[in-house]
Amino acid sequence: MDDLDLATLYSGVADYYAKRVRRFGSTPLGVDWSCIASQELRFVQIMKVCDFTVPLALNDVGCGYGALVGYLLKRHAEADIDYLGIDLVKSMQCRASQLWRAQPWASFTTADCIPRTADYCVASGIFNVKLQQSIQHWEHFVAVTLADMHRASRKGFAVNFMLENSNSSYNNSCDALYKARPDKWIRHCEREFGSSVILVEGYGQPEFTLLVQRQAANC
Amino acid sequence: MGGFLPDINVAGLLEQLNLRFGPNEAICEMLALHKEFDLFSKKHSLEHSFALLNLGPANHWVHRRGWYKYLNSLKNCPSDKAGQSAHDRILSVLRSHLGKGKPIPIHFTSHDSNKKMSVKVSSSPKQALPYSTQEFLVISLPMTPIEKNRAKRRAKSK
Repeated sequence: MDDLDLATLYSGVADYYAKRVRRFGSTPLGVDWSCIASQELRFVQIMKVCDFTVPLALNDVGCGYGALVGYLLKRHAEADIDYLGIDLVKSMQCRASQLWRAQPWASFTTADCIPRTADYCVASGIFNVKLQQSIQHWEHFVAVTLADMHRASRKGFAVNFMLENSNSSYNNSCDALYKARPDKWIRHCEREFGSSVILVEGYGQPEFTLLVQRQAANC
Repeated sequence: MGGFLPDINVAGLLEQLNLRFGPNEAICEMLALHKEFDLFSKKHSLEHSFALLNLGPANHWVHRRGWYKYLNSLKNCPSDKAGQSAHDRILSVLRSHLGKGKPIPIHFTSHDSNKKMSVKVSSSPKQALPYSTQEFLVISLPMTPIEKNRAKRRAKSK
């Protein structure tokens, strides 16, 4: 799969989410989550990668309208965070910038790769909706994105995946979903990045979260 | 539905509730959400809790407001527990049910408020669906046919 194929994939994904947010606005449905509560339950898991006791820079990959900012304000109001939200969709960036304009520590950009190195990168839900992409193409995109997150993280990154064999028809708005087994991507992160991986699962969602931490020698 | 939203939307709303509180992964998700965010605590109203879960008409704001008005109207509606409103009864049932280790799913249904004004909660697990052996906690919401409400309003205004 070459860069042109990835550009087509990004374009398809951007188009899909641009339509979602145009229809549903800056709401969980606008980024294809069923509700605020389930969206934030995922944030609870992915933010376990961060140490909030020290100042931190955070890249939020596929930030949408910046829902994570709202979560951080509620759950980690005392933390010193330098937040950058990155999304493929320009209209998402515009909505996020407008919505969180009163938060000087949060900024947003449109890009298909991560433009700065931070302590942590997190991504929630960006690997779930593969649309018409083949598994092979989508997994190439996943691998490229994980490599980008690893490159742009000084301390670690966190991502989530839908669990293979799950049967969550009650909250899927799209049939074209990518589901995976944890061991596949755990092995990938250990092998490709030499990172230690913590698996988080059993939190009431048909999915799992990987907390990928750099080994001390890799910092 | 008592003039709060069109009758045709009620089945869809009950279906939403039954999907989100349904068997297996659905009730597990609800359990996890309640555990993490204390969704059905006393500090939340039913409107607030259901809004967090996006339980309501998603595409029509007038209907969504009507649904929330209906939920708030339950504060003035009795329940099967003396001294507790329908609104507080539902919250307290959800809170205690999801406080259990492995709760059974919840089935929401409705009944004619002219026959019984209060919200009804099953005292023991029930097979609520004729095509399923699954047992549920059943919560039945009182609903008023809109024509009767209009008739009452007309009668009052005379």
